[in-house]
Amino acid sequence: MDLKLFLCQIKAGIFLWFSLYKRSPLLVSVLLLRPYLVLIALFAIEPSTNPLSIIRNVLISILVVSSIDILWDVASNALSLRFLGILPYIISAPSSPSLSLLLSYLPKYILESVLKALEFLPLLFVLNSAQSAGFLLILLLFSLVGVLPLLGLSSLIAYTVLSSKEETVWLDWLAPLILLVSGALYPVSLLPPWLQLLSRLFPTTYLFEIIQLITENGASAQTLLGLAIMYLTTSILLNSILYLLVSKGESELLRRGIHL
Amino acid sequence: MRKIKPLIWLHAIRVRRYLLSILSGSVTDSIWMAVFLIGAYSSQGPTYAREVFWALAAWSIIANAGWMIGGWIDYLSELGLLEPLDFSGVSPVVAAASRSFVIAIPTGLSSLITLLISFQLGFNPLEISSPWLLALSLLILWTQATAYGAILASTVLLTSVPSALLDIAALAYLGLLLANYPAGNLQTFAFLPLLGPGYVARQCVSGNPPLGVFLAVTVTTIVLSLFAISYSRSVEKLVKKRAGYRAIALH
Amino acid sequence: MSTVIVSELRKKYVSRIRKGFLKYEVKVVEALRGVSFTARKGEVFGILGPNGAGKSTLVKILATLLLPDSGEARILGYDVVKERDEVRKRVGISMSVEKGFFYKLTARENLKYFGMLYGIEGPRLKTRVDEVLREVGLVKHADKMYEEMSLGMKARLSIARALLSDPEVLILDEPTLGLDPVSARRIRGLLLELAHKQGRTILLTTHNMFEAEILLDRVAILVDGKIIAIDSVDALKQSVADSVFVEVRLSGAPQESLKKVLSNFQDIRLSTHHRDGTVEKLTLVVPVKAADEALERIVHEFRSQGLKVRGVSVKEPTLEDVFITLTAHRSM
Repeated sequence: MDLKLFLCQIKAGIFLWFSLYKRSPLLVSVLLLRPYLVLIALFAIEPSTNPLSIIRNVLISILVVSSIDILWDVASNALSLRFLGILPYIISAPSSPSLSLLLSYLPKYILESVLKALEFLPLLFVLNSAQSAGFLLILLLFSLVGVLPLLGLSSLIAYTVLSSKEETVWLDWLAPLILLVSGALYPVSLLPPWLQLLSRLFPTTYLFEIIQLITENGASAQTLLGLAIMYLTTSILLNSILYLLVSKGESELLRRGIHL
Repeated sequence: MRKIKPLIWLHAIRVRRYLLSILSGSVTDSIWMAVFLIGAYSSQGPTYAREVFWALAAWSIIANAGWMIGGWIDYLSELGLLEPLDFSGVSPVVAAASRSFVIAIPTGLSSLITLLISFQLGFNPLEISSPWLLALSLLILWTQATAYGAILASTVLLTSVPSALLDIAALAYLGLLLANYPAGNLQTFAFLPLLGPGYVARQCVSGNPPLGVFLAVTVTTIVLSLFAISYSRSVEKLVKKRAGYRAIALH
Repeated sequence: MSTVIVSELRKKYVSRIRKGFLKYEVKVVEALRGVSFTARKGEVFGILGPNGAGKSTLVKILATLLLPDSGEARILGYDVVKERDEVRKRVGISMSVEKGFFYKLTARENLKYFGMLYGIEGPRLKTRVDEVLREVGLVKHADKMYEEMSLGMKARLSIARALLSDPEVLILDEPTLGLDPVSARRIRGLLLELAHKQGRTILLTTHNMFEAEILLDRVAILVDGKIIAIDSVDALKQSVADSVFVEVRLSGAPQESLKKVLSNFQDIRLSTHHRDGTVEKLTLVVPVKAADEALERIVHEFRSQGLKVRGVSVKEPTLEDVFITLTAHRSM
């Protein structure tokens, strides 16, 4: 992997999204509204006025939006780029097709996640002014790390969707399943044993667990470190395994010309 | 009217050709519905869960209208079909809104899947006090949802913001439809677009809503529909007066 | 020196057509059936062919956007399959004149983005963007949004992007499709300069015969996935030099009478047939040996059927004539 090219392609992605966003202030405003709407939906599941509970929902809403967005957004954008005739030119960059595509969109997800995290600062301050700075840091950290673990899966979904020549991301049902299995919506302990085992394989499970512990004030540094290590390990493992499948997807894409 | 026939034909063929997309949409909706239904059942028991089932069916109609009608404008724009449609005398908004009948498929399928899950949980959502009134309220909701979809589609054309971001109803109404509402104030709530028929549908599950509420939802439906028609016409006029159909979303 | 070497490339597309419930018919289309050719440095090499001949499939394989089923293609010595990244660093592509850019970005921003994506950055990126914009004549429109550009500008922008990485080889799929004569001429002038003055190899596809005659140094005629002729334009014209092309202009000719006359000619073939109002313009291919006698016979036959002959002239074969002659026995 050419590091110089890798960094160059990240810069291309950053440049692309800054250029597009500066022309669409209305779109940016609407974008920022969504995490609050997710918050409302989370309240519907568990109405609560406990500040820590609200903060927990805020953290979950950021992660939910980040991870959902990644899973279907990459594929959805691949479809759009194909319709617009742009996809071949991204694929023809001198690196792997999935990398070129992901690096063009990764800055978008990180930027949006950071913005969404920042917009919750007033709410955090109102709920718990003493610890709001700490919570903000955690939010920012989650918004950055939250986008990473499912990147491999999002590429695979993109290839599968492109291959099938359907008009939508027909694998988007994976998103709520992953959220369910990760414990974002209900505690993992409520799931059947085989699902609980499956949840241990998902990096997002550990992120949601960290949120749970932080907001319940019951976490020791050791426990948190342990969870962070598990998160990193499962992220690397999952993306490594998926990378093999993604490579196959790339060959298939080039063999069949489904991106053209 | 002459133009509606080819549009219906188009959407019917596309349902067959893009069956996977329709089916997956149904599965996704049913997973979300199941998530909330399980929460409702475990927290408040079968009576509330029965109401929540129908509230979720209502939500499914609204959500599908949002992305199947509103979202179609994005798709038409990417394919370069806005102008050819306009030139052939069909408003792009009408072309999108004519997908309304397709909504029945994913909504029906997702409701069926969720129904099966309900049986597994141990309650029967089909035990309804006023089934015909429930059906009527959902039909009215379907009409309002079509109008909402048309308004969304027009707003997409006007602002070039993708429908997925503008479609706040799908997300917000999920929480609002499941929230507790004072049943005594149903007459007032019935005037709320989309929410009104949703609450009426919930009321039909456990009781008989007063017929007066149907007058309220009908009035709202007519007003919303008229607004949708005039809004979409104004938007299309304005768009053509400005710089024509522009790219939607960030692309 | 050959910069592009293609050897026995094959590619087929397999599709499934639904015939009933769970019943499918498998349809195989052989897009390329053993294509071989070479292209030299500083040459404008054209791939000519009717729609569906396999032109786009061929250029997409060379552009590393598609994998062949078998065969080999090398660009500047690098294999397009196994050394794809090396090829991409040295090749510029343009697949469509009116798509392929972000609508909400300006011309300059689009070029900057793709430049970075292709590994160009820093001061070199700015320099290259300015240079290519100047080269294609888009400096004045550099800050115009893509969606506001005319088709001619979009075509030029597409070539500008192909030039960003300063490639030795350019692969262009129908670069002047849909352009007005002025814009098309501009593009052609640019391509000739890029090849003949700057020494780049240009591979392009077209089915515009007029353009092909002006632009191309050598041509490969691709029909049904096979190259049926490959040579310079002049040499290809010479290859049909055993025939003379006679243009006959008739006025108000009923189709029945025309058919009757043409059916009487055993050794004379119809090459092209245009109608311009009531005037029929026919190009007949006559063997050189019988040219003199044939001319007399042609006029006599038409007149005997009561057809008004307004003029007869012998013309040099055009590339279109060559193309039609060579593909005449392959019905489309």
